[in-house]
Amino acid sequence: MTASALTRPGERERLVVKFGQIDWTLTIMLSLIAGAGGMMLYSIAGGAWEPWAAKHLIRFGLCLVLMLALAVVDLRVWFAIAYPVYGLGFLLLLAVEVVGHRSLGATRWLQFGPLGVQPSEIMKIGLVLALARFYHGLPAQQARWSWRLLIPAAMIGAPALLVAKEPDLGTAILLAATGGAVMMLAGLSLRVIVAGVVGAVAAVPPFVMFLLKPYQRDRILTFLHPETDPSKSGYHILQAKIALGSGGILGKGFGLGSQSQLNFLPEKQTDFIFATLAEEFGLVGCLSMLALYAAVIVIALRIANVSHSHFGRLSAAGVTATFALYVLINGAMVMGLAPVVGVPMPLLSYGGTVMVTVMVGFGLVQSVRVHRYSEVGRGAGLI
Amino acid sequence: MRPTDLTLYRFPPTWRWLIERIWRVEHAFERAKAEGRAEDDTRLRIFFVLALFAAGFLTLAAGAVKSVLFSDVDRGGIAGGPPGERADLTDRNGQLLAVDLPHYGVYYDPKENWNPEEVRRALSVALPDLSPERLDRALRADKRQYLIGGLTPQEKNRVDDLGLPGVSFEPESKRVYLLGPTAGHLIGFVDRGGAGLSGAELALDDAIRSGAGKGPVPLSIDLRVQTALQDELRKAAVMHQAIGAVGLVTNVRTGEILGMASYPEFDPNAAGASPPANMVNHAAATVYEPGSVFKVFTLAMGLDACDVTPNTMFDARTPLALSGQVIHDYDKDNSMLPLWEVFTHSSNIGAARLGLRCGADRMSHYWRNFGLFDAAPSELQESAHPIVNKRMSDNVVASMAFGHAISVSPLAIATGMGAILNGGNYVPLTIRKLGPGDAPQGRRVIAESTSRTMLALMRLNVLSGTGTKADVPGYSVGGKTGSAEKAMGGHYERKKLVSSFAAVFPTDGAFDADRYFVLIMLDEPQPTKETYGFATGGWTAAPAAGRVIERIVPYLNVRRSPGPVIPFGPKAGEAAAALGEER
Repeated sequence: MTASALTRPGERERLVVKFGQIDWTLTIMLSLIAGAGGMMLYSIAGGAWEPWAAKHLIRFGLCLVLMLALAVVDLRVWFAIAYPVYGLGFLLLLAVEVVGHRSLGATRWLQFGPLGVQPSEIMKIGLVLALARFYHGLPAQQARWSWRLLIPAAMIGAPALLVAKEPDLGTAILLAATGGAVMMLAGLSLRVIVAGVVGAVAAVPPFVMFLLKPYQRDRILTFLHPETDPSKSGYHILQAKIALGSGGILGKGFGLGSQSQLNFLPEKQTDFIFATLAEEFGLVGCLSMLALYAAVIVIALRIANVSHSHFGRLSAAGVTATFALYVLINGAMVMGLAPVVGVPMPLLSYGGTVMVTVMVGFGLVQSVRVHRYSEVGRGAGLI
Repeated sequence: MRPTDLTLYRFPPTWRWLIERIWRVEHAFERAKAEGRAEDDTRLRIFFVLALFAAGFLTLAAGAVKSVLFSDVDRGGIAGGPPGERADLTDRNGQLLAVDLPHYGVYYDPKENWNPEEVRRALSVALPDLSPERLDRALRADKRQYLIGGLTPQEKNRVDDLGLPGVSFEPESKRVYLLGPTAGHLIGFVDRGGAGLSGAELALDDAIRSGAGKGPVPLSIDLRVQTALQDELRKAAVMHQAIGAVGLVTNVRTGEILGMASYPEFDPNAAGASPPANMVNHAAATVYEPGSVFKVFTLAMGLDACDVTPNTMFDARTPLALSGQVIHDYDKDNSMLPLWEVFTHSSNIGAARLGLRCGADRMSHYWRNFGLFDAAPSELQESAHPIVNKRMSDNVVASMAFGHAISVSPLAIATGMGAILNGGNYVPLTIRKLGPGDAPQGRRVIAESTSRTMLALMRLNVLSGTGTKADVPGYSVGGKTGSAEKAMGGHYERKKLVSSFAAVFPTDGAFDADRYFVLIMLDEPQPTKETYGFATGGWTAAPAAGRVIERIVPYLNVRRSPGPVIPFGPKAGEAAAALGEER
């Protein structure tokens, strides 16, 4: 197939052609990360597929199929469902407030029969889609600085506040940061960005002192001085640091990490799986994994870059920003560079919801690549 | 505006390249602004975001490098779990007695769990020792809670395999006494925090703590001796339904305690589960009115300082009437007795007369030298102070001469008699193993010749006195019986005795060779058919001492010997002649 063949009318709509246009390098990278996750979970369980590794890999297999299916969904369909998805996510977030299921001391779930749904996860995709759609129809001058920007600000702020109230500070930060990234990408004035960043930094101390729940405040204070509280919040940080430090350059070897094997490490299969990796594969394993994540982000942002539609560009970049923020926040947390906020390492950590979110997001990114030449109308209206 | 090549030339090539880039980025922004095209602007901004993320990743990489290269973690040390906090304890031959084993405490964090019922069900099955109330409290709490400790690695793995959310483990070390009740009183035990509470664990607490990780702390006991002693003591105590019993084996030359037993026994692994009374180490912590075994001290004093010989005659024809009491003999021969017979017949009248002959001052001096006025000087903190009548009236002096009006611990008796039997040097008893040259010099309390005579008297008593049931053919065992009526509510109970036997072997040989002392005491032994209704030391404690000696002799490197030449006694001449012929 030559490039000229693609220009034939209708040729790009053929399913086979669409599959050919999927970015397989990206797909392989994602599979490598998930495979490493399965390997680590196998090791943590003391060399057993149960209870985590097998489920993790099966789940990823299903999510991979989902991603490939979503990759061939026309970008116009994504465009059309942008507001509905956001609206649904927002309604569910409100519903959580009313009837949510309490878990781990926080109300984050809605129960539909056997299915547990975390509306904040839907919101991660919905927010990016809705913002991309909003900016798609907005002239560049207005995206820089105008009263209309109150609309995206509200679109970001409302769900972020609802999630923060659950309380799930990690996801709230993620939503706000992703939204901010999309606004910035869409062309927000650099002066406003600088002012916003300065304002946010200035707002941190009063926010910490007056608006956080005691345990959240403790975590942040503990982060600053982990040694003061080695038994509770500080324990996570200290043990993770020990795991990292004890791995050395080449690590202790697969299945030989004592911090994780012997259960010194809390949440070893979820938020702190990176520490296990560091212990067993050392600095080399650590940096290789970071390089893999970086490669995924570079590829995904390039896909965003080559898209012909503003919607495609913004949505792909927005999803990628979410993914990158996951990695950066989790990495910083495990290395003790940031407080413990409960953000998993995407695809590496055990946990289904985040994996589905991430893979749906990459379905969108792949779709942006497959339909990179498509033009999306500046359609107004909801659908 | 674009910098001219002329201005650029002033910079080195790298700088030139950088300036060019920055200028291009600035220019692209300006152009996008001018044209009002969001697309180009966004493309640039994507690179800007990429640069931000790259900076983030570089920070992470730097963080990882820093963690690895500048970690203050001792690899495999902290990470491998805490090492034992207390050194192992072994017997003198390196047999393990007490070790720190890694155990695990179970914790539960309700914040990490959404199904408390499942956890309740699983944990109550997996951890039957966990009290339901405690589990309930933890499930309802809002913070991480300690559930139960002391899980072995296997038990911990079993619980871990259940994969219960919110359930986590932390290592703790637990003291394990491998042999349970064997030497339990001597070894003692520790509290939950690993601090010594009794026995060697308390006495040597500092050494055991500071020695953690540097090899075991060897105790003086010999496990083979200890086992035999403890076994025979238990049998004797059970057979005679005694309410308590004490057994001691010491090396009188070095002061090392080779065996120490107290009955009833307890298991230091489950100290909390045994009645507090069982945890008392009677060998050190209880004082007894010892009775006639004390005549060893009286005769040693007399022979050493009061101008008597074994053949000096004492009048035991009539009870000795003093101002407060009349002293009788059990053995109513009502005759004149030589001193050796005072000893072998255990004549209270004779001993009292000897005590009075020496006088209060001399007795105080000797008793103090024998260590009978103080707690026995050993590492054991349980070592009890004696109860002594400070007003040394004739009554008290006469009573003390046959072991009444004074209460001392078995440990003090063993220390004092050790001095009498080792050539005359008072050597404190120790629970630590001593090296070849470590035996303390000691403090001379009687002449070496007195010590020699005392060994002969002890031997004579086993050959033809009250201690015949303690003899072990071939090992020249010597000994003295004691049967003290217990003082209760102001008078002595005829049926409640403390029956004892103090033995020594061999009774011949050089004083720089090892010599062993065995003390058996039974508290309120009951007579049996086999003892013909007697519960005295000669019938209860002496046979037990004999059996202990018979069992431990093979381990102690004691040569068979004919025994000392005894220049007094019923067959003094014949004995000497017979011994001469044998040689």
